[in-house]
Amino acid sequence: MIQTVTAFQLGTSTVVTLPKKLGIRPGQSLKVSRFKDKIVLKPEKKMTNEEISKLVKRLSGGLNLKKNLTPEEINKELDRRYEDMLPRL
Amino acid sequence: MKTCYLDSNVLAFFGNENSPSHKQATDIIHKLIKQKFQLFFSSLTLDEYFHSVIRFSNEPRALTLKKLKAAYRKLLKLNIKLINPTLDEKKHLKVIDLIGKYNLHPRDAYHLFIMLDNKVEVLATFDRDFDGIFKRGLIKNFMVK
Repeated sequence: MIQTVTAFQLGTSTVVTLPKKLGIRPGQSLKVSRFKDKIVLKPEKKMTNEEISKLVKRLSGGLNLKKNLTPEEINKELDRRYEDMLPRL
Repeated sequence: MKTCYLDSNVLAFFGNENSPSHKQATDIIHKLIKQKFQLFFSSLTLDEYFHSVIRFSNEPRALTLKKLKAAYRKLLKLNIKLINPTLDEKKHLKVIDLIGKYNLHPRDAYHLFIMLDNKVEVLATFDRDFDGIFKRGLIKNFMVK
């Protein structure tokens, strides 16, 4: 389906109206991307719990740090580093 | 859009499977994605994250740096956006006010300043130094139960 639509100004935005038969609902999120001379609107897919778990698992880990490292230890180290930066009088 | 600033300890524990806090860090990220939060960090967060990883790594420096790069690339796939404080020098006076008013370390006051300046509402952290800030309702703590 090819149809020509005209963009118009609304405040500081440029608005394009889409034909109803595309099935896009008001308030629906769409991802907009540009490929050379094409602008692509892709309905945002809601991830399932399982998909999020897989994504988080894939993107986490990979570092090999001290085993029982605590938030307090990290904080103490960052404080120590700042102390070390101070000029010795 | 809901917005959340990630503290460096969340990033470090997210990347470190050896940590007892790893599960909690991954749960935080999971929940944030599920609730469609836009995630943020700052140069200050990254400085702390990079330093913590290098300082507490069990491996040689060259391998640590290689793994850190890979871990950072993976973090970017979470669509985390970088925010920084305003370039208006005068506004940075507020950091000193925050240090005094909430009895914060300068570093923590800067994190808070960056969040307030960028209108970020929620902080995900393991750091108890922010408890006073949460109690006063200045920003919210992102909790995973």
